[in-house]
Amino acid sequence: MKDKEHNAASDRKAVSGVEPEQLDALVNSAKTGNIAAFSELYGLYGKKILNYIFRLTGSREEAEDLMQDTFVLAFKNLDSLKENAKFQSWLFRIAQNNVYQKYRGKTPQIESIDVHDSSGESSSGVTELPTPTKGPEDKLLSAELEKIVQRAINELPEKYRQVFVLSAVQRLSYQEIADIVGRSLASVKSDIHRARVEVRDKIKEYLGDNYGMSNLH
Amino acid sequence: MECRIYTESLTALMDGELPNEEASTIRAHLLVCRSCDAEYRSLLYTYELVGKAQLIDSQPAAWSLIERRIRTPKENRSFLRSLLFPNIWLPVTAIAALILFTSFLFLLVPSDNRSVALQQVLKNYIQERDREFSTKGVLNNQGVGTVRTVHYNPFRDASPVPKDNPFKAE
Repeated sequence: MKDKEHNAASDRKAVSGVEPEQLDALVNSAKTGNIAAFSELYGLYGKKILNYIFRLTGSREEAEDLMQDTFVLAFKNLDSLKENAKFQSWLFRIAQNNVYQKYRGKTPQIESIDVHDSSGESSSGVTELPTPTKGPEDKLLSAELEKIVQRAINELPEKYRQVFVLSAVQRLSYQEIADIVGRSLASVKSDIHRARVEVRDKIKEYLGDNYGMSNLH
Repeated sequence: MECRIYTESLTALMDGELPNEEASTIRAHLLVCRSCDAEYRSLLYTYELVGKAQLIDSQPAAWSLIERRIRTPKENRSFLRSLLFPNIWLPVTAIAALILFTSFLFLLVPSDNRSVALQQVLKNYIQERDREFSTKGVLNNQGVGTVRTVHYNPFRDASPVPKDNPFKAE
């Protein structure tokens, strides 16, 4: 159990970001209007932002548009970033605000992610990462699981959805999450726990005794 | 009660966000409490499950679109255009338009009618002023009396010929 716990914590640190010196140099360069430097920043954080918005909105098209809006806005307002080290948190915050502005407190009409059809083709636009060792059964399992996980996330209250996606999907540190959502560390810690419990309960409800989830109580 | 305190920190323990001492305390509790241990395992299982959620990739042209939007506003806005149409001109234009519109409306009204309208306004003012008398209660020897104060009405004198200058030295 301690090994698994260590791996979970290690995952968060590995995914958090680039080397601080590299980030500092890139951001400083981008602040001078260097689009090539900003392009590198896009390469480092674009996918994270896209997936964050995707998990919040449930729509790939919306996520693409809002992700582009986020980076355009970020480039135009780079001067307002005081600490280069907080670039990631700042970027996530812009993305979050863009989602809020788009929906203005209304719950986004979250589309369900399609499962693979009978021919095995996905119609959701989700690119499945290549896993040569996966057999057909595993693929089907992943698609069904994806659907269930997204459904569980969709049904979370907005406050919990944000912190859940940032912690469990994006694997950011609690301090970074607190910076992004603008709440205290204690509040974020509590919300993350409640969100995880709720997602666990929903997944358990959807899957029941299937897929080896019978050990859940 | 103790279990409740520990379960609230299980997620933080899993994420490596607890100080070492607190983490050790909770781990020790998990060794002796089956209920909390089961809760922890189920949360960890869920965490791993969610971690398998597929990540989507952006479309290949995404960066090109972003770059175009970043570049376009600055390049197209020439110096001359920025000089002729700075942001300040918008409120100035709006105010000028309002003044022009008001003047135009004023001009549309025929001069005779304007003069009549003005005279009517003055007449009403004079009548109103004539009616304005302040009264004061003043005690006299026999009782309460009233004193009428008449405001001087400079418009009452309709004579167009100016009076002699009262201040002229004799």
